[in-house]
Amino acid sequence: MNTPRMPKVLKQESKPSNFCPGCGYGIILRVIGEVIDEMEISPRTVIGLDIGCNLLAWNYYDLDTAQSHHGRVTPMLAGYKRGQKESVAIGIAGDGGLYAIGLQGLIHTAHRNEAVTIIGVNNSLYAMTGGQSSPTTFPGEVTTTTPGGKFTEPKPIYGPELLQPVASEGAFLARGTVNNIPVLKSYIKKAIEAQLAGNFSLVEVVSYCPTNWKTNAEATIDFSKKLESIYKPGVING
Amino acid sequence: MANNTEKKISSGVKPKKELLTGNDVLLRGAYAAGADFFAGYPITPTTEVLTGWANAAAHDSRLEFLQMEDEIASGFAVIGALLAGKKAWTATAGIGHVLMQDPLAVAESYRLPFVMYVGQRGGPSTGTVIYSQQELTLARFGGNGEGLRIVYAPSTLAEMYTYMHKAFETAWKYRFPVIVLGDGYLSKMQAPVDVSAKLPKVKSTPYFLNGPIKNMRNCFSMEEELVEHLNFMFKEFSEASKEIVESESYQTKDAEVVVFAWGSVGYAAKVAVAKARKDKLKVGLFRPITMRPFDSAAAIKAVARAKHIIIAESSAGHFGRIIRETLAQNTDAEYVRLYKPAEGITAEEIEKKIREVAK
Amino acid sequence: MVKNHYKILIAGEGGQGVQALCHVLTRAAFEADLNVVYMPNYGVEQRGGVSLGFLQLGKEVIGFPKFEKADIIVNMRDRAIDRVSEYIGEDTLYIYDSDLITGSELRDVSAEKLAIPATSIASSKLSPAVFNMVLAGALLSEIHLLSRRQVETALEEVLGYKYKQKPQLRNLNKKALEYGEKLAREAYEPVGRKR
Repeated sequence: MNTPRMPKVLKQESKPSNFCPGCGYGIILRVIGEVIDEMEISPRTVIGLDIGCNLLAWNYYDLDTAQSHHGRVTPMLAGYKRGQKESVAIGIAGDGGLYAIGLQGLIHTAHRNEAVTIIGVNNSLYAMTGGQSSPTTFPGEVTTTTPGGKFTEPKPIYGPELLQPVASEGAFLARGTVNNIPVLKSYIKKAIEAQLAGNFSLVEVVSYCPTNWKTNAEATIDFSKKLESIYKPGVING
Repeated sequence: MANNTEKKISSGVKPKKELLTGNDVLLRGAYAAGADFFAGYPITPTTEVLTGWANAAAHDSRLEFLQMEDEIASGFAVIGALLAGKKAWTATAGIGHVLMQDPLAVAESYRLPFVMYVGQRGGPSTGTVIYSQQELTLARFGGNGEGLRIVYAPSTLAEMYTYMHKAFETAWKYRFPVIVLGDGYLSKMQAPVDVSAKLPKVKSTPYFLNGPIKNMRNCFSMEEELVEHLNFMFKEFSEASKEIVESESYQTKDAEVVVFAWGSVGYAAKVAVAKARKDKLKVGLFRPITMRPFDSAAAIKAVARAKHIIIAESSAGHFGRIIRETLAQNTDAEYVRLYKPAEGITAEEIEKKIREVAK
Repeated sequence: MVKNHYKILIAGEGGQGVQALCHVLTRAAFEADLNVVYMPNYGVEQRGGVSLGFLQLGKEVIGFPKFEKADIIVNMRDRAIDRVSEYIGEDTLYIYDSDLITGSELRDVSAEKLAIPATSIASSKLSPAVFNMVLAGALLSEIHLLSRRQVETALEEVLGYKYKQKPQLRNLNKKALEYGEKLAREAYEPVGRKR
């Protein structure tokens, strides 16, 4: 049998994936699952989901999950964690959910240093609604609302960097990428450790969206390398 | 069993009474129910609920307090806390109530015991900061769904206590969101009130980390899936409604003039009816206590002998539309509208109208 | 004014202590075992906007926290003149601070008026801050259901924390109430109004 070992916390029946071929979410959910397994926190972990492709994650984990409206996963998890302080609360959301419609909630959750972990998936556009520009769309990027690269903003939003001035000393803010799984995994682990120590954490993950990027396998890697040159992986706080 | 009652107007000051504002009374009702979590955002006229809870939480570590960045976040924090098993609630008004309908829609879909007090203020938009009865439709049917929530409308400070407590009871028993729909006058007024009644603490249980894995999702891929979910909820709502529905019919048995009023105007109407009765006028009052579900059977019964129906409300017809729809096939009485959008209606005004109509 | 029940409208601008005065009178009525309802009403400003307090006390059942016509209006500020005008009925008594509102500004007000130089008395004899208690004293002389002693007791409860910081305030308030009552009495005697 050559099938790769799945994290225990992922449902064995969750294959085949209902993400698009080449989507980065499969990697991200798997890495989160591995960290949950290794830290042996699954009996006390809950997953908060936003709107966007992330919500499909409810199919994959043997964990309690709740889905909020777009951008509201951070305040919902903040309330949850305050209500059950022994729990581990992990939210998964996209760049639109976190940096556009949910930015207010995200900033204040970081500012209040709520002990929750947010995994923010950055694929530079709104994927589930068909590839509109998002706060992480880079100047000149073509999306369905920036045809020919028109109407893009002078600068994208760098989420972890934006939160850094309001984040507490113990908060963990980092950016990883699906192209470097070991580092991504170490960031997610540090983020949950920060939560266990009573602090806020955000890991932005630069991901793939071949469907909306309209890229084949090779071009997907090129596109994501370009994204990585704009969104530099590393630890921003903590 | 519908709860249609006739309550006596209390007079005189009882020794057990305390001098409290409506917002104070709400807090007492919530404490009595065992509420232990509040998330909110300041807005007149309900800010003192937020500050009052903050003060209490500062001295009692069992009470969780979160001042959020807006009402949407407040409502979602309440949702999170409910999933964790907290008896969580919030209070808001006016434009904050508009934003709060966003999380309330989730609570409706998830069948969460979301409890909220609304102190209606004048609208549209920022309006006035104190009073109206213009948020009735929003409370009943706000959100992008079917309005599967319970709306209690207290009419006095004493009822603010009873129904704030009852909101938690009903919410946790039936798992539908519950709104206590007051107004700025009820929130801000100060008067002697008895809040000494010992009421039972409400039992709560966490939704999560509590047995079988739960996936709380309100996103449906197929129309058929959603319809199935909705039909199940309609059935449960309709069954619960039979037990939940409440109203007061006062002096309606032989009434030829029936006043329809609710909330604080409902109490003014009752005082007016009591005064007119002293002059042998055949007048009565129908006052819904649950604005949703609505006690249609009692409303229809109340107009059995009615020749005139006076609808008194501080809006231009939010309430009147419910009444006319409910009574459509059941009365030939003439409708008299005493509509004062975003303005108070005194007992004297209602009494004057009764005497005009009864001539 | 001898009545079984009083509808009182206290008006001024934010910061003048309109609501504080209402709190004190409400507390006094409560301690006197009267039916009482007080309801504040104001705009969005914390300071400077028109501030109203609707106060009903006495022996009748109170149907609604607001009323159509007041038995007594106490006005502390010219900018509140328009707002209170709709609450003037046939028998309304209009008490006002004649240092802050001139008689000519009230020329169109048909109610019986009681001019109390509250600000100048408070400033010259006591402290400018207690001008509203001078007006309260004048109001009190019109409400036979409440005694000055009851109001003083209510002041202890409502302003207890302030009295701790500033003990001299207790005596200033007491004196201000006395002045107010005295001014109201004197204002009537020359015209021989029935009380």
